[in-house]
Amino acid sequence: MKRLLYVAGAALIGWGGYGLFTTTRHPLPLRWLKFFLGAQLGNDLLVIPVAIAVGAVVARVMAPRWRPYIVSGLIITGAIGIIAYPLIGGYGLRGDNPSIQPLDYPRGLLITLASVWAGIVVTAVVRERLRRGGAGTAGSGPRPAAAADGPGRTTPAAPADR
Amino acid sequence: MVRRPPALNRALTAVLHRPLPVPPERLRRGPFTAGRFTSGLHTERVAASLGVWLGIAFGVCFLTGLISHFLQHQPHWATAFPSRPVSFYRVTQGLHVATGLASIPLLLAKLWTVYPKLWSWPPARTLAHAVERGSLFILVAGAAFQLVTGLMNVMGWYAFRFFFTPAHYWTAYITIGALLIHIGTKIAITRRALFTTDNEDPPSRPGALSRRGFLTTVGAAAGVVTLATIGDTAGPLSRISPLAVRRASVGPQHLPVNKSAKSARIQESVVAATFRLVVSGPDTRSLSLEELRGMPQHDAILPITCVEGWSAVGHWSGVRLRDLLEQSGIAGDRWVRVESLERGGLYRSSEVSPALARDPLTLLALRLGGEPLALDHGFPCRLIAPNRPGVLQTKWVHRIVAL
Repeated sequence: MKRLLYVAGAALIGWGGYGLFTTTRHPLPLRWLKFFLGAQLGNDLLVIPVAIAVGAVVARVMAPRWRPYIVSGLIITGAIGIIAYPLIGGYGLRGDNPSIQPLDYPRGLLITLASVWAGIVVTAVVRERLRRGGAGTAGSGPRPAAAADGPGRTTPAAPADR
Repeated sequence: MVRRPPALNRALTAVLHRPLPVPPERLRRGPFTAGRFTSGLHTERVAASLGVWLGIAFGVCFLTGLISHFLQHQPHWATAFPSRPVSFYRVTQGLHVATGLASIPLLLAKLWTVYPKLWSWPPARTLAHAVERGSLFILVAGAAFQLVTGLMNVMGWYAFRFFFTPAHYWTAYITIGALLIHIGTKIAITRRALFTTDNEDPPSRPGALSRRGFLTTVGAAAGVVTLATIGDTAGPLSRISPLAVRRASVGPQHLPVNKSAKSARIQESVVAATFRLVVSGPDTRSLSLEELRGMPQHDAILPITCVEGWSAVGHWSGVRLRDLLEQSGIAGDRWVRVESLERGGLYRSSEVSPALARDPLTLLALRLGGEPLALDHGFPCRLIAPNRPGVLQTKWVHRIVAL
């Protein structure tokens, strides 16, 4: 099974490389390589170090109780930010074709992030209240994992349009 | 598989697993230092969960991508590809793009989780370890390449300056190949991490996100990304998708456009004055726009589905392609090529298989939503066929040739 996966995997890599360097009509390989390496290096040396640095700052300035919720919100915000980046920058807009990127994206980003953070706040308040209520009434000794629990479903579901 | 003599097998194993020299300790600095990454989430179990999600997502992207490739390039052995349901390609391509976008937070989370391994010491323990890391390099670069170029292409942002389609297509094989190797090396660890019951999470430190909290958050991020963008193909959801690249109702005659007449250098006055449609076959005909309008007109409600993932339904009417072909005596088993007035461009003509050319829903459309086609939609006439990528729905048609 393992060996089969290795052989099939190597064959597919070879097939892809062969196609990339032989059957395309355009001068592809060098520019391709730039992006192939660039996407990886950008991730390893920029995106993830930045995420780690932000996490470190949050750990320093936020109270432990609210920190998991903030971290959750920041993770979702980061994902949205990446998707929205070209839209906010107007990359891809073409003067001759107004049907490309026709929406008000700064507004769209605000609405999306506002819904996400509203979802985070609601989740945080509800869970913290439940936890306090639970600890007060249950009285069945300590709840070891509870304090460390992250937020539950933070999906704010619908970033409503208006 | 060829059975190697046991002696050779042993020798190979020995070479692969012989420890490599360890670099001098004084080079072990910065992120290589032990204990540099303190989060309790850099675990096999988190990596395994995210890996399974990503494996499924990349599998879906690969299969739907292959469908898109073969529908676009229609090798002649694929002529039997059914033209029903008419929205099949709309669904597979919408799924392709949505899954790709949702994979962005999944991949970033996965790479963050295993990030300490990038800085493991020594960098390569054995030859086998070095080979495995090499294949991982291909996997990560390929996955990042696919998601970055895919996102840019969806946005219409062609800053990569190479032709997207072959680059994305061939890199898919490289990525999936590296993924199969990765699955081979990790399948045992993944099983152990996900299916054994005795690995309860250690209690996380106060203020730290738990494993469950982290995975839920990453899933939520993928969900929010999907909801915020899915409206460019799922019309009813467009109101909750403030970050969709298209809106199905925005464009000339309330339908989006990919290539404008201006960028194709088509001028309405010139077209209107000189237009003739030539159908070239045993009995070649040349028709004016008036003659086309005088032929039996038929309706078709069909989507325009762009390879970039957006799609929108139009109410088209015009002449059936098969009527035109019959009129010129073109036999039912012939492929035809439909040519545009465009002077150049990769998509100035497209080929139509015998079955699709005779499909009653395949039209040379003259009208959209009851009005004559807007110039941007291909005035005076365009091809519209079921289950066909938008780039092959040739606009500004002026010649049809039997092949």
